[in-house]
Amino acid sequence: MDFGTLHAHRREQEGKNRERENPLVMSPSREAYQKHLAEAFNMNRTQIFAFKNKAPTRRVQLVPNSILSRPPPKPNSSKPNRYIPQSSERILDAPDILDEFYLNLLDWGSSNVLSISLANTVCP
Amino acid sequence: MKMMERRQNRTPQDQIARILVEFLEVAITAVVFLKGVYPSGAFERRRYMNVVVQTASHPQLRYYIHATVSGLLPFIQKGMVERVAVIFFNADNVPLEKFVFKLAMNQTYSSEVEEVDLEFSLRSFLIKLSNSESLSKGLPPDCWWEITGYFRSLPETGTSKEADLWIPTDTKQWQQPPLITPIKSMSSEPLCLQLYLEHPCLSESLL
Repeated sequence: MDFGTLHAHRREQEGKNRERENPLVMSPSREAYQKHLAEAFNMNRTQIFAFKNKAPTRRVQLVPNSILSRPPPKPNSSKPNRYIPQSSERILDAPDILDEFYLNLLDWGSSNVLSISLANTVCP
Repeated sequence: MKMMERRQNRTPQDQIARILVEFLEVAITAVVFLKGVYPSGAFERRRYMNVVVQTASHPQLRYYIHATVSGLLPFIQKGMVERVAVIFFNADNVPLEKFVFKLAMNQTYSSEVEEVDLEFSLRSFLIKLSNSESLSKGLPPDCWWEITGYFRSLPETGTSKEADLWIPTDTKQWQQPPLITPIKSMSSEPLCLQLYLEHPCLSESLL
């Protein structure tokens, strides 16, 4: 963790406490130090830029009116539920499959083709 | 396609800047979704670096975030951008909260850059960011927000098209140093990246 900003922040607080104790005593080096700290905390405005365009307002229109005017589609209750057998149809071996949490090694498509990645090979 | 990209990206700084700009677009969208500025219907779930993130599906919101961070790309490559901040304001234009991405790019680094290692580090930023909702505070209903860039040196106006897209801002600043909540940091050559939250100090937020 980079604590540079936090350390500068703490030093700023300590400096302000000392200022309250001795308001009249302000050496030139301390003034330069305070100025440098003020720059570190974005108090120099000439360096800050904003994008020319602005962000959209909160009340964005999410759905066009033409879509809203259409009636919602009726649910098709006559469609039968698909029967999924509980026992396995076939058991395949998968040699050299990688045990990595972030990888996605299996894929299956509408053409009923199953693909699996083994090491550097994709086997349909 | 990759060979063409590699020839165009001649330096590690260009390579890193391109990945960083892509990351900033995803991260800023995550911040805006996290704050609940827009209805959740304006976002949709996507996968980025194998992390589930929210992307803007509303065209105006997507354009603002994409155009803003893309406009920063040439300046990030040259190391001119010091910070990128997402600032939330109330109706009186007083900043309420800042999400600050602090950047430091080593301009003299010339070795090969391992993109996989960098993407792994940036992924942890996104995971930590999506779990940092408790650190931030609620926003009033009439709030607004903008993305600002803090430059180390002033971009010369008129020299390029990208520089004209950025205008100096008269955003109100806090009079007292803010309260800083660190979220995540990363140090690796040639990029150091730090993400933290800024809130006004207690005496100023009561005003």
